[in-house]
Amino acid sequence: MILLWGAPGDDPLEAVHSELDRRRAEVTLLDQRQVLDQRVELTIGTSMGGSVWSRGRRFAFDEVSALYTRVYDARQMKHVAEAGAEAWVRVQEVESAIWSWADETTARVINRPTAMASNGSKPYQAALIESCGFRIPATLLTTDPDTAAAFWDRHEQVVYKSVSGVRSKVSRLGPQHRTRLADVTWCPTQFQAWVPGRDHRVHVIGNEVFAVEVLSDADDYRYAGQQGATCELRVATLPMDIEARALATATALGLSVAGLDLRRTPDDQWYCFEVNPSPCFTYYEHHTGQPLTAAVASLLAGDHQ
Amino acid sequence: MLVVLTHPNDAAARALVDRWQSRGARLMVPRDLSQPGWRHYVGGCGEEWCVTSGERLRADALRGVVTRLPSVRVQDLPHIAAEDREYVAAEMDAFLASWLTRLRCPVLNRPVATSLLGPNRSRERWLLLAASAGLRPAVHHSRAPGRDPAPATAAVTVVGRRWVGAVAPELGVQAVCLAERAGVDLLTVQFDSPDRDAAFVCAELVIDVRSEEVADALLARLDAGVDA
Repeated sequence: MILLWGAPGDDPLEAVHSELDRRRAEVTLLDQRQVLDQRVELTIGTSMGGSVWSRGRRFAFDEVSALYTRVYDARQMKHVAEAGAEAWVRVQEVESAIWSWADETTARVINRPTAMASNGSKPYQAALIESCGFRIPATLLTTDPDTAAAFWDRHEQVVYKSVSGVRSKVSRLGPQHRTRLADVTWCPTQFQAWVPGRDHRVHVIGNEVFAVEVLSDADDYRYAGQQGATCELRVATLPMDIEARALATATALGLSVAGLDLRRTPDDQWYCFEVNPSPCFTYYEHHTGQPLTAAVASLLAGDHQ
Repeated sequence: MLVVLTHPNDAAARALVDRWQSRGARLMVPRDLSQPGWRHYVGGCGEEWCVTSGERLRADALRGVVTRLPSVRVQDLPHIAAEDREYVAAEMDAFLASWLTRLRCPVLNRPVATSLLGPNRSRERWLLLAASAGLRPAVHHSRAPGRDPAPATAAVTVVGRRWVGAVAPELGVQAVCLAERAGVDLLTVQFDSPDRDAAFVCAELVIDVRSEEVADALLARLDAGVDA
């Protein structure tokens, strides 16, 4: 059985579910919206097993051959937020138990929580990315306005972005930010030398690599519409060594599915800004026709074993 | 200089810093991350600076760090606007994970992206790891919600390869073995009795630093200049 854990309405989850249904695979959805009515029992021996019950229906972990997780912060769900503190404790216990099993099961998991964790700290993950052979931008994290100003002067064009995964949006420093640099004293702020070039989104799915070239004049193409900028996506072919590096990076991070944000500079250097462990690949599939959903479904079904 | 990273109201950490006064030990609390002076570079090079007990200093002056802070809490940030505290806490966590990971001095325990205390595990995952390390788990079932409270009666504190606790030596050896399997220097291991045939109940990455024996073991580990 292939278990999908997430909420209906999530594009990648629904796309994978439909694809697995089309293939007549044995697939079941563990609906995160029903977390208040779910319970878990774990057994601990030489391995971890057990079951999860959702509205009276039992799913035996031992029968799960693959797990795909697209789990959101449950506090963002209105009925959970309104259920009160006691219910929130219950939700945390249930989700923690499922995540514990996801980390330890021998089933195929996209992706294990410990592997996804590196994305919670951008500079922490950047160091891992650099060790895999990609270039990363010169980065300063500081609470010192003078140090930030000196970094800006040295690199001339600089972006700032969140350090964690929260409010993750890239913006370029402009003249209006000079006076606001004093605000960095409140919290370490991340600045990066702006890297010229063309963005590429690369999806690693198992042993397959799918590259998309992004033509956009926005600082962060994901928000091009909001910035009044344009964005066009088209299928690209990576140089073989970069494709191998992308695959090696996802493997090193323990991710069987990953979305890498790369940029190719005019002098043919490849930078990697981030590795997304739970990519919303359907956005890229819709724009390019790349068979990303099919690749994820194949991975879950064990077609490549 | 030695640094103990912790919450502002951690009395045990303050006592540890007092005990290590001759070594120039200092507390570092989340409020220090809202002081000018921090510099941390990734993907390039530059002098690393930090702020501890309100004073700015070069990071290479540090000889060791003991972490007692799993994460920055909203209540640690009364100086931040209420609507921004959750965001700032997440940013400080992510910053510290990177900064502590790249420090050249020993860091006990070296953090991971999701826990500044090191590779934390749920109770169920500790039980599984303990079983694989040859310890006898006290329970083989767990349920959520409504998990039974852990019936611990004896604790072993692990610091590197040393252990401290009023238990049979066999349990101390088991605790050290579990810490090695987990890849951590500091670990509290709970058993259901102090006897040699006790069963493993749970483990946690925070240790009790109030005893002189633990403080001395910590100092020896930091002076050795290595961590797990």
